[in-house]
Amino acid sequence: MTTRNRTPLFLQYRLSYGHGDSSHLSRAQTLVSDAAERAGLMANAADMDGADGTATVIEMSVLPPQWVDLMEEINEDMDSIRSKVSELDELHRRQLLPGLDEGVRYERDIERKQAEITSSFRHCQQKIKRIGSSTGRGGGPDAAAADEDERLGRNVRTALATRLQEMSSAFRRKQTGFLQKLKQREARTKGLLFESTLESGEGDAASSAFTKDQIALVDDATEAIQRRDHEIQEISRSISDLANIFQDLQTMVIDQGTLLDRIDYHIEQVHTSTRGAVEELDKAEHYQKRTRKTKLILLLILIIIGLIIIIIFKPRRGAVEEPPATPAVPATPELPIADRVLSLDIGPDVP
Amino acid sequence: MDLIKTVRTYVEKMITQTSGMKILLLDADTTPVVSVVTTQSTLLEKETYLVDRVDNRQRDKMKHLKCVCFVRPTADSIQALVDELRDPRYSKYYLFFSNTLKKSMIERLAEVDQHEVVQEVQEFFADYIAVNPDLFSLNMIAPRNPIYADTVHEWDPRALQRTTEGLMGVLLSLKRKPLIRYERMSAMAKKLGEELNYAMHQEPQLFDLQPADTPPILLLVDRRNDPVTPLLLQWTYQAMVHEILGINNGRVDMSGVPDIQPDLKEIVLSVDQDPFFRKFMFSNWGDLGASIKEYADEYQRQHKSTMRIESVQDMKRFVEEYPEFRKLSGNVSKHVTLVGELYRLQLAYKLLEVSELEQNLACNESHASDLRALEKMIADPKIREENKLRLTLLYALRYEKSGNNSIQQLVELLQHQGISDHKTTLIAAVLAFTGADQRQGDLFQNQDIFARGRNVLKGLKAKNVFTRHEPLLAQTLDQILKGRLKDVDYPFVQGGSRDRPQEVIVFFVGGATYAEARLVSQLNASTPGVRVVLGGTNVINSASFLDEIQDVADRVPGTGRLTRRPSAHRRSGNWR
Repeated sequence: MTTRNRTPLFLQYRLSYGHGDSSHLSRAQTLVSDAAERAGLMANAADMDGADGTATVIEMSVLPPQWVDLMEEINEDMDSIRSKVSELDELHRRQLLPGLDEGVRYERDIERKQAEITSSFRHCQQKIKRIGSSTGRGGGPDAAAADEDERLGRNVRTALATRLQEMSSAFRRKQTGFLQKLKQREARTKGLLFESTLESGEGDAASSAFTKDQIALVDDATEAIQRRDHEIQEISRSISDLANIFQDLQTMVIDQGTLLDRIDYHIEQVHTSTRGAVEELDKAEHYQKRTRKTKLILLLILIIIGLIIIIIFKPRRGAVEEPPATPAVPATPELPIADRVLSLDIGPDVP
Repeated sequence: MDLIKTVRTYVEKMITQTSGMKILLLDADTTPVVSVVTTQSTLLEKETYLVDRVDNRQRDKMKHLKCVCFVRPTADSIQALVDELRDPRYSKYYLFFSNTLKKSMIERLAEVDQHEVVQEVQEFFADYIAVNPDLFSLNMIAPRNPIYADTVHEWDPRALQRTTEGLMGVLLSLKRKPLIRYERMSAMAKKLGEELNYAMHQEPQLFDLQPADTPPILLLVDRRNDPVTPLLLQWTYQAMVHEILGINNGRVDMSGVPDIQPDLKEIVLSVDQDPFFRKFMFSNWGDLGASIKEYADEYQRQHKSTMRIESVQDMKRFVEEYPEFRKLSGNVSKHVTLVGELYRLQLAYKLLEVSELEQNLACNESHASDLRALEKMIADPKIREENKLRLTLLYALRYEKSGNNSIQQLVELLQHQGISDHKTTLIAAVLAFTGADQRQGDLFQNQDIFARGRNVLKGLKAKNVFTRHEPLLAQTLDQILKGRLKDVDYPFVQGGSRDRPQEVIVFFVGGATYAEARLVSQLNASTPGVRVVLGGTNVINSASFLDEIQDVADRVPGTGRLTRRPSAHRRSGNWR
């Protein structure tokens, strides 16, 4: 695991090339201007947020995509889920402490916490989904996207989904564990209750009536059972809620050990898709050229047709004009010329 | 000395050193290096959301990303980096190189870094492909990166440089400064040893390591000294897959399998991430069949219980077990398909029969029966051309020196079966390049009476007909670990030591095989306190081994030509 750091040498060389101080200046300037710009934008965004709670979209290649904020939000959400889960853990622990009848106190807390966590999970999942869609232009997970932004968005979504899935399955495992313990206890209480009623029933068999105390006891017990029942139902519901989320996430994560998990495969994919894009571009250019060509050809054909028409019309005009001209002007003066020429030609020969 | 772990630690260090969203840029050489040790999901976990090639010029500008760049310091990659730094696409650059940088390279990069985006320049010596924990390859394949120049005694200059650097990488990443030994007969091994020794002395501060009690040994051997091992069909999982289908950086192309599912057209066989493969990669064919059945049964059981959903309870259980189940199901179908395909091919091409004869030719001396069996095989239309050729090669190598061999007749027989002249010239070429006169030591153990006796004894000991042959490396390693390897046969490049070494790095010029990898792995498991690492210019199978020879033979006119009929009284020089 030897490594060697060549940064000092590199920095030394870089300094010796002299673009140390000059660029520092320019860099500082850009930094300042950057900061100014950003400050303006932030204020703007904050204003907008204050106004109607929507973020502004700035279309600039240098700025991070819109969903980066969303990603940070999700990360924060996940952190809060984590802390909530540990709080819930604590509550579970206390609830399960033996001989504790005032579990009612924690019960409400537990219920509330559970609902909170489940809903945070759902929120997170929805937000993750938005990361995919906001990079948009209809790129689903299967679309071979050449667009890097989209690829980036998709990968971020996969990463977040994987993390969320891990968290949700850990949470679910905890809940199932708690549920089991709860059920065990319920069974125990039921048994106890049954026994105690039996005992009291036997004791007062003759009177065949319950004393007030006994009735109170039974009422208490049924209430407890109902409460437990309710608890269990709550948890079951939250588990099935989570199951839905989970199934949704499953479509986003990478199956480990498959080709999709290979780095070189992804690089090849990019290459084939960029190559594909280049081909498409070439094709498009070709088409464009062809349309240009066809336009030219059309134009030429039009010109030719036009010329043909002109040619057809011109002689006709000539022809149309000539016939009236020929009858109008007697042809006699022409003939004599020919005759003259002829006679001229013939002249020297004949003698 | 776990190669996979070492390389992975390098990669993880690279991507965890910087926080925030980043892109990882690789070049043609480092892509497989990184791919075999880590996965896309690991990268995503570490906020590395994009991976691309440094020479891909069509990347978008993304100033919100940082860039981790891991490349070999080759001219092409440096040029690509220079172009990148002139017009940086990302906010910050962390440059990692897989080998030592020349000062001129650093200077050039510093010159173009006008935007001052480079934060770090480091050398991380992950310059080889970690195939198994104790097997590495430099991925040099014949037509693209040939290792031989115009003869088999001379290095292609580029290949020599790559190999030297690759071995430097191995030594530096493992933090070992070994004594170098080489095979006496091999001019290439010697040259490589000298080059490497020189390179090590050029970088004294990198090799300034704590001296070990017994210095590790780097043993440079030549494939040509054992041409038999790559010609044999091995019956262990990893080796068999490589021989029959081919493993390429841990990936197997299955697109030729009839009725294959689309998601199994290409599969990944990773020692690191696939528990089934890790457990059974060295199991032989029979055991493998049993274990795959067990594996499938386990899947069936889980499938049944997972699919039975009647109550809320069942549903909960399903959701909980689903990810594990999904992983299992993917893996089971992968291995079942793979083993199924091997089984199909084994039946279709009568590989068991072929292998039995191969083992006979490799291990026993019985000319008349071998020749009869071979002639029958050549006439059999079900047996593939390659296998016929391989058998004939084995025959030629074994009976090269025996007076009454019928190599010539066999060649004619092959030609009669429609095998092209180009392919049959390979027989002469293999004999010319790897024949008895080129080898040192007694590969077939048939040159003196004692060796013959030992050989017969060994034949009696072996249980399985198909796994009788043992690579030559077994003997060499046994001798070196006992400190009995002769200095005359395996001289030191510099210095010397009579101690029994604890650590040996074996490097095959011309490529190692998975059979040898298995041997090394078993040796490591069975001998405590000893650690052997195997490497090669490539990990070869019979096809790539023969391609390499064919490549040289094609370049050198006359190598493959038959000069005269072998005659009974001439014991050598039948082939030129």
